[in-house]
Amino acid sequence: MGSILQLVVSNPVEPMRAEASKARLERMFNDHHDFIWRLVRRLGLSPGSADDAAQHVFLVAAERLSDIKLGSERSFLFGTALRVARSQSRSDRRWVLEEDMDFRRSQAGRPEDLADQHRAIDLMGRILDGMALDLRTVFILSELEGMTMPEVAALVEIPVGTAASRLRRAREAFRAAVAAVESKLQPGSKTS
Amino acid sequence: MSDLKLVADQPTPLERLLLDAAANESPSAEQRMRVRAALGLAAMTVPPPAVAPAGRAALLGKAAIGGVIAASAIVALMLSGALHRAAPAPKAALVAAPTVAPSPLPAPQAQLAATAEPVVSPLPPVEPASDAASTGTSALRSTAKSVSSVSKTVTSTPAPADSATDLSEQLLLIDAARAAVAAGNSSAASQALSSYGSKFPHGSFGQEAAVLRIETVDLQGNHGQAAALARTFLAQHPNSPHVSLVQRIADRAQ
Repeated sequence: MGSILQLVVSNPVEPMRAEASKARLERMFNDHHDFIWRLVRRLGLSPGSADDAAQHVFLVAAERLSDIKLGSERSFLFGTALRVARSQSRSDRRWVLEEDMDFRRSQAGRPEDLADQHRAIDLMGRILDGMALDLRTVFILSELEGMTMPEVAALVEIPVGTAASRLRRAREAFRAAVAAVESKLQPGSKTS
Repeated sequence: MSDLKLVADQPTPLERLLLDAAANESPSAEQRMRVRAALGLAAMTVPPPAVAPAGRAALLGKAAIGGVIAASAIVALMLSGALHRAAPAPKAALVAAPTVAPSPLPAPQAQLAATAEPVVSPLPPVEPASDAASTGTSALRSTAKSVSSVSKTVTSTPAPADSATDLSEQLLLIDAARAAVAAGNSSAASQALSSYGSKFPHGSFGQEAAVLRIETVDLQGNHGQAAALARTFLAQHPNSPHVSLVQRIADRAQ
């Protein structure tokens, strides 16, 4: 909003500095917006809440742009996104459940591929929900965002060995959860 | 996104499918534009609807995907039931909008209170004389100089033919209003917001327009009215990304 821009510009305002701030914000948005959105989504927020949360993260970044060290943009956004997602996840969980109810009512009317995608995302969300936050975070960054272990460790601010250990445990949890699902799909297994 | 590491470890089809689905999900073009608008970044041309990403899921056989997912959906429903049993959510809380105090409101406030998100109601009458209170910069002023012409141009444009055009036009008006607010030009801001409210009563940037409206009223020197509008906004949108900004306006008049 206008006031945000004014804050970014700072006082006294110099047009060149304002342009530089705006350009920096633009780069941050282009480089990281989708990553932040996916992150808060995978941390349990519904699509609508992920929209709000991602916007919130960037508004915070805009307000504190001068405090963000050059080169630390992704780290700042990541930390802010974790906090925002945590604060929203509790109330948002209700939305997820509500959407599940809608899903049950409407699944027959959806195009097949879209419905498949939604179901897969829904099931993935449930599996991720079952992981501890520290494991889930490393899993998301490594398996879904494709980051290397050093990148993950730097972003989460943990030693590389710790990151690797968490990833190993997260993978085990993921595979166990999927195996549990698959075992129920075997012919003859009961689904209720 | 780089290769999914579990794929190299010979994942099961369901593992691969779940990872692909999560990795390929992305925010909508509308969401990106909304954030850009909130940040005051230049409007972008909305790209045409994206072609389905060539993700890993697309490489798998359709029948295999359908089979796995159809079966997994059954399990998902089962899991859903289990989750419901484990953590029952109060249904009333799921759909109930935040309640607003039923006290009588001044006309503009009542107008805002009665506006269901993301509807934007027309602006209250504005007094352009308060532009003297401008705190904007010369750079921002120069940006705002074209507000009126932009606003008029967009307003005179025929009804949008598609959602991409629609979003671009909405963003132009929101950008114009924001630039005007930043420049302290309340009459230009009012004009842009009025155009937005009348042209896009159910626009995608309803919250942004509502916040800009509050700032415009505040800019006019009507701090009490701005604070009242701000409080109404906070009651209606307690989780809005704009809460901190609006809260400052609400607090200032107390």
